[in-house]
Amino acid sequence: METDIVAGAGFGVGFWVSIVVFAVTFALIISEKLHRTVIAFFGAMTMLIAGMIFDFYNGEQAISAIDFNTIGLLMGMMTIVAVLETTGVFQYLGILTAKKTKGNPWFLIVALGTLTSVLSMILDNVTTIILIVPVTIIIARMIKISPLPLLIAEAILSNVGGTATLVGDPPNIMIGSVADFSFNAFLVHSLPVVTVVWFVTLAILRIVYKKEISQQPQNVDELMKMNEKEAIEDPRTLKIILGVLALVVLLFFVHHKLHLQPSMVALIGAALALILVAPRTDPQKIFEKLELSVLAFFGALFVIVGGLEHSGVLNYLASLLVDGAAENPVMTAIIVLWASAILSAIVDNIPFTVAMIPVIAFLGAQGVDVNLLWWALVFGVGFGGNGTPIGSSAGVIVVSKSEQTDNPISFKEWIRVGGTVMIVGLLVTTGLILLFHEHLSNEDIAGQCPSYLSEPTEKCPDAGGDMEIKVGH
Amino acid sequence: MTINGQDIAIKDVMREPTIVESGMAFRDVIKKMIIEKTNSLVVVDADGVAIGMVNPKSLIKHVVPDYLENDSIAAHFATESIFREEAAKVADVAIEDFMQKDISTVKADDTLMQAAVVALESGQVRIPVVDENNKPIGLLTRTELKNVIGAFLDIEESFSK
Repeated sequence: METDIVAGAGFGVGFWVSIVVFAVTFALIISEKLHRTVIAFFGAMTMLIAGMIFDFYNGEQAISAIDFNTIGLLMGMMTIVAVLETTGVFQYLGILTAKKTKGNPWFLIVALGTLTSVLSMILDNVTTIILIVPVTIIIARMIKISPLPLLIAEAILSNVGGTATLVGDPPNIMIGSVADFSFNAFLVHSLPVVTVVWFVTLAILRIVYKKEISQQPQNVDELMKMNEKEAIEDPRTLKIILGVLALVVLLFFVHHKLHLQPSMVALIGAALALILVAPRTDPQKIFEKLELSVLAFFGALFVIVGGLEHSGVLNYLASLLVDGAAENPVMTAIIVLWASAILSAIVDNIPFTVAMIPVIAFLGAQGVDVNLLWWALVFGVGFGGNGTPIGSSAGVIVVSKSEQTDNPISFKEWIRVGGTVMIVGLLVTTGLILLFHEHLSNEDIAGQCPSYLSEPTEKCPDAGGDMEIKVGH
Repeated sequence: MTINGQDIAIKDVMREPTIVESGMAFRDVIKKMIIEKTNSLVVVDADGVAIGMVNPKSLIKHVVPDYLENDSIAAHFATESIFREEAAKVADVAIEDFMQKDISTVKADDTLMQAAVVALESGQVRIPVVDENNKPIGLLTRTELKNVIGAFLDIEESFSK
């Protein structure tokens, strides 16, 4: 098989055409002059047509390039969240948590930060932030402290928390899907690193917001008088959807043993939510909350990168890297970590992840032990988003919501805090990779039967035979 | 204006618009609306061309901070003092910054059905009537459209002041 791959890396016209289509499309996405979904969709169609003209890509291959496990998982979780967000449970938890701190500004940072981290581990960061930020601002105004450190802490810790789990962040879903990392594999590999970085992040927040933390809260009795139960408008729906969510989380823990793909788990949850909450209503209103534009963007990226893969470009790129990666896997992982973090801080981390995945997969197909590289990519794109206010959706939202408060978050302020958090977080992660790279490469827990295996192994007798990087095997 | 047997056009039923010039401050706008007991102002530029409208919704929308706009659950916990502070914050904002732009208008010789459809399509219940230079010469509100329907159904009280 190996020789086939190298032989496939020809330099025909298709090879160059696919590079041009890819480069122009990605440059336009990054420039943000056009909407990213529109240009990606157009780029995907261009790649496909070019592929058919120059004979390196066809419709069937384009369809199979789309990772329906990622799309399905996002759709399922978005459906559950669409029901959950109407119940008031986020506001309930926000107020309840804030009351426990009795208005102490430092405890508020810790408590609300912890809440957003935990919620972001299962639910998407954007929803969590959108629903927690308004109550946070109200509470801060009530007790007359600056909401700014709270908002920054929520966004940053939401990004850090999301990095911990398979379903916490779209890049994790995509990486997990191709590398065949289970939910538990993330808990064993990613969660410990994230936990360390999480505490370090909190320590940084404590230092940079020393002055704000010493503010004396006022009207604390008003905060204590808030009745969080008033946020719950529909207890019946809430009970059902929490039950569904609990089942989904439970299934995530065992999905590998049951041979259920993560997307199946999420879609089972979505189906249950719909039939239990409002079986007679047209779900159109709920589906409108699914971000079709985001899903289409992901799908288009898969098609574009699929073209690059079939023209032999990614496989050629991987062949250039293969010697270095095989000889010095730890160094390669550290390069992947920093490069992906810096890129994710500056540009959208999704296109980068989608392009990076097949490269690592090809390295894996050529016999390089890539488990460590996968985790480095997870940490890089996860922590990198904190570097700038535009690095993550959570950051973008918090900055825009803060604009109408008395303490808007400036670009500079974000860089001061988020940039520090990112750099220190990456240094800590680098140290952890150096110390624990053997654990992170451990195949017993991670990467059981990745789709890029070139030949059957003891654990995966069905693997190999087909060099396409297929998901949903 | 006779209704039975005769066509009624927009110009027959429209009311006198309350016109203000751009640059007016939020506080003065709301004062004018309260004193003149009107819920809609047509905003014109220095040349008298209609550039926007203000109604109570524009005022409310400008007072409510963005972060609460889509979160009625969180707003439940916002105290009155927050509302008061937000209102004070916007008192000096110029009308251009909170008026409704891109307004739908009709011409005096357009049909009433057209005005009704414009009202439905735009979701804008008050439609300025403009001349060929886009200068406001009248206003159609829900009241006028309701009275037109009343007149069609021979309800005598329609259009009685």
